[in-house]
Amino acid sequence: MIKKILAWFCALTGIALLASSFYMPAMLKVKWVREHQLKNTWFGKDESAWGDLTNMALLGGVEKFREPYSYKFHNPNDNGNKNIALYLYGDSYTKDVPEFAFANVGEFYHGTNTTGLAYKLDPRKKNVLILETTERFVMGSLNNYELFNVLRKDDGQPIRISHGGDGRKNYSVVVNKNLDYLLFDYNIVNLVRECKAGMNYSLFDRASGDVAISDNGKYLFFRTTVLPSGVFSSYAPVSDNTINDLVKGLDSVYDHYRKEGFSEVYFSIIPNPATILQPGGYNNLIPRLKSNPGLRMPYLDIYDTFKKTANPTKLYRIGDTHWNDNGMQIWLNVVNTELRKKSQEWR
Amino acid sequence: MVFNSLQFLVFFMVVSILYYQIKNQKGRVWLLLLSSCYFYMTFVPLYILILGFTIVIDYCAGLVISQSEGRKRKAWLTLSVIANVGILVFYKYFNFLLGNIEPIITYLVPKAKVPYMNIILPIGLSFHTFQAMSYTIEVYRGNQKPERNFIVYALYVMYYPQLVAGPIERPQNMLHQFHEYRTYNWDNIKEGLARMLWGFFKKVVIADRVSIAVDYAFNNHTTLSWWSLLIAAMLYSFQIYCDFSGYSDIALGASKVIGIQLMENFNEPYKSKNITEFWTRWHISLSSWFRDYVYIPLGGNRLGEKRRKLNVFIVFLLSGLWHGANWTFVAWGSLHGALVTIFPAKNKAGSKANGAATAVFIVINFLIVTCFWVFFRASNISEAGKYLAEIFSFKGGVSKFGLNAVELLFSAGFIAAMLFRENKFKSHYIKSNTSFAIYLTLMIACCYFFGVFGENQFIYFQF
Repeated sequence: MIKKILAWFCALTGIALLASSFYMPAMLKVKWVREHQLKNTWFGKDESAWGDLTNMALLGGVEKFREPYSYKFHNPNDNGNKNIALYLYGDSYTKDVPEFAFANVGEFYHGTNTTGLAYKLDPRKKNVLILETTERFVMGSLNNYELFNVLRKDDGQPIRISHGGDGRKNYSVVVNKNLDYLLFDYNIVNLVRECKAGMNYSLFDRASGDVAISDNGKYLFFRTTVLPSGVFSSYAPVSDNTINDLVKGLDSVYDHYRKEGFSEVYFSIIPNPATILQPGGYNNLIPRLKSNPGLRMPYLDIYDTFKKTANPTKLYRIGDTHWNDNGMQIWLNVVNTELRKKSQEWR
Repeated sequence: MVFNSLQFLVFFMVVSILYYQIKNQKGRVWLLLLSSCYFYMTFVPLYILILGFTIVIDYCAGLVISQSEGRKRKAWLTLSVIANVGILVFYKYFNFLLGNIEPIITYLVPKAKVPYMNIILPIGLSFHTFQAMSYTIEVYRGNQKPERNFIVYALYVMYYPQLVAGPIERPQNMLHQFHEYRTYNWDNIKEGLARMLWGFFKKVVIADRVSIAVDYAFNNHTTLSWWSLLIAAMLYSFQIYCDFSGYSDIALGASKVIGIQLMENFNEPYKSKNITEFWTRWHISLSSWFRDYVYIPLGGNRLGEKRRKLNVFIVFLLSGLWHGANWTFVAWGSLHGALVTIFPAKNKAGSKANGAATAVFIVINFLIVTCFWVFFRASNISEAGKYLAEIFSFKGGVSKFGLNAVELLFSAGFIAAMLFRENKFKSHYIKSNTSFAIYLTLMIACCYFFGVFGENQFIYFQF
C-alpha cells in the first residue's frame, strides 16, 4: 500500500512539474514567492550582486569575477530647456537610466521587447525615438514585423508580446530551464552546484551553462555571443546580403516612425562585450551596418568610442552581460550631445 | 524532447510509474502510445500528422497484403513503400536534389528561381520510416502476421524510446511484446536504470566534452598542427560512438525498465580488426536492415563475386545517403563501400592474429574509420579533403585542442574507462541492491560533476 501511495505521489508530482513548467503564469508566481518571500531560506533563491553571468555560472565565489553594480546618474548640462519628449525602446542596458540623466528631456518613456511601448506623442514637444539594442539582438529585435506590434501608438489596447525566432527550440529550452528552476535551483542545492562550477573552473578553466570564459581568462561572456555560429554571436559570419537586408529593415522602421510623427528616430547598438574585449574574428557587424551607404536612420555611435577607449576592460562589468558605469556614461554622453544639438535646432 | 534533458527524466519517471500502476495490457498500450505522441510532439507538433498518415497507410497495407494474392499484394506493398520513401525523399532530399540540379536549371532558364522549400526535417524520420517499411515487407514475405490492433501497430512505429534514433526494430521482435502483460520486475528496473545511466555517462561526460575539442579543430583546422587535427579526428570517433551508442543505451535501458527488450545496436565497434567486422558491430539495426531489404533482394552473393561487390557498394552508398542529404555522407558511405568490396565476402583480415598483431589490426582499422569519419563530420567535401590533407602533409601549426591539458587528460581517462568497462562487463545487471545503489550514486555524481549540460542534441537526431 505504501509503495502504491508513493508511486502515485511521484507520478502526480511529475505531471504537476511538467504542467507547471509549461505554464508561464504559474512559473512567475513560484519565482516571485521564492525570490522574495523565501529569498533567505534553504528553499528560496538568492542571487549575488556580482552580476548576471556570475550568477548564471555560479562563479560568485571567484574573486576576479566580482564587480559591484555601479551606475551613477547625473543631471546633464542642458540650460533647463526641456523641449524633448524621449521615447527609448531599449533593453536591460538602458532600463535603469532615469529621465533626469537625459539632456533637454521633459518627458521620458522606456519600453523593452518584454514590456512593449505604447506612445502618445506630445504635440507641445519634439518627440524623439531611440531604438537601443545590444548587438546580440540586432538580428531579431529590429525586425520590423515584431517591432511595429510592440512599439506602437497607444490605442487603449494592451500590447501583446510575441516571441519570434525558432519557437521549437525556445519552447524546449524554456521548459527545461523551468524544470531546472523547480527541481534544483534552491539555495541549499546551489551549494552543490557552486561546488561543480568551482571544480569546472579550477580544473578545466570552464564556466558551465550559458557562460563562457574569455580566451585570456579574465572575463565572462554570454556563451551565445562567442559561438562560431548563430545570430547572437560576434564571430558568426554575416553575409553582405544580410547586412543589406538589415539596413532595408532599419530604413523601413525609420520611415514608419517618422510618418507616425516622431521628429527624429535614432538607433543605437551596444557592442557585445566580446566584440570589444576579444575582437579577433569579429564579424564587423556594427561597422558594416553603420557605414552601409543605404542606411538613412541616424545612428548613435558608441562602437568607435569603445574601440578607442584607452582601457576597454573598464567598459563592462566583469561578471555581467552589461556595461559598467563608465560604459553607460559614454553612451549617455553620445545621446545627450545629440539631444542638445537637436534641442538647439528646434528651439 | 532530448534524452539528456530534465523534461525527459520527469517524463520517463511518470510514464514508467503509471505503466506499472495500470493492471491491464490494453491500458498500458494506450499509455505508451499517448506518451509517445507527447514525446514526438515536443519537437514539431504538426509533424505527428505525417507520422499518422504513414501509420494508417502501412496498417491498411499490412491487412490487405495478408488477405490478398498476386498483383494486389504487390500493389499495396508498392503503395506502402512509395508513401514512406516519398515522405522521406520530400522532407530530406528535396532541397538537396534541387541544389544539385540548380546549375542545369539556371543554365537553361537564366532567370528561373529555384523553388527551395523552407522545411524542418521531421525528427527521426529516417528511423521510423525504415521501421515502418520493415513491417509491410515482412508481412508481404509472410514472415509476420499482420497486426490487427491499430493501437498496437501505431505503438510499434511510435514507441518513444526508439522513435527518433532507433534501434530500427523489426515487427517480429516488437509486436508480440506489446501484447504480453509484464509483471513488475525489480531486476528489469535495476538493469534498465543502470543501462540508462551508462548511456548518459557516455553522452554527457564523454561525447559532449570531446565535442568541444572536435568543434574547435574543425573550426580552426587551417591554423592547427597535423597532430592536433589527428587527435581531434580520433576524438570525433569517440564522440560519435558515445553519442549514438549512448542514445541506444538510454533507449534500451528505458525500454527494459518496462520490460520491453529492444535489439542491440552496437557491439564494441572499435575492437574490429577489419572494416567488414566493423559493420557487424556498428549500428547493427541499420546494417541488418540494408542486408535484409536491399542487399539480399539485389541478389546478395548469389550472382557471383562481381555482382556481390556491386551490391555491397550500392548498400553502402544508400547507407551514406540515408544519413543525410549531403555529398559528405555519400562520400563517407562510398569510402566504406569501396573498402568493404576490396575484401572477399568472408573478410578474415586480422581474424587469426593474436596478441600484438591483433592490436595492430585494431589500431589500423580504427585509424581508417577515423579518417572516414572526417567526411561525416565536415560540412562539405572540400573541408573534409582539406582537413585530411592537412593531417597527411604533417604540417606544423598551433597545437591546441579547445580543451586544457587537465580536461584532455580527464577525457582520455573517461574514454579508456568506457572501453575497459564495455570490454569487461557486458551486462548492466547488478544483482545486489547495495551494489546497485552504490553504482547509481557514483554514476549520478560522475555525470553531474563531469558532465556537460546544455541543449546538445544527439548527432543521430538529425537523421
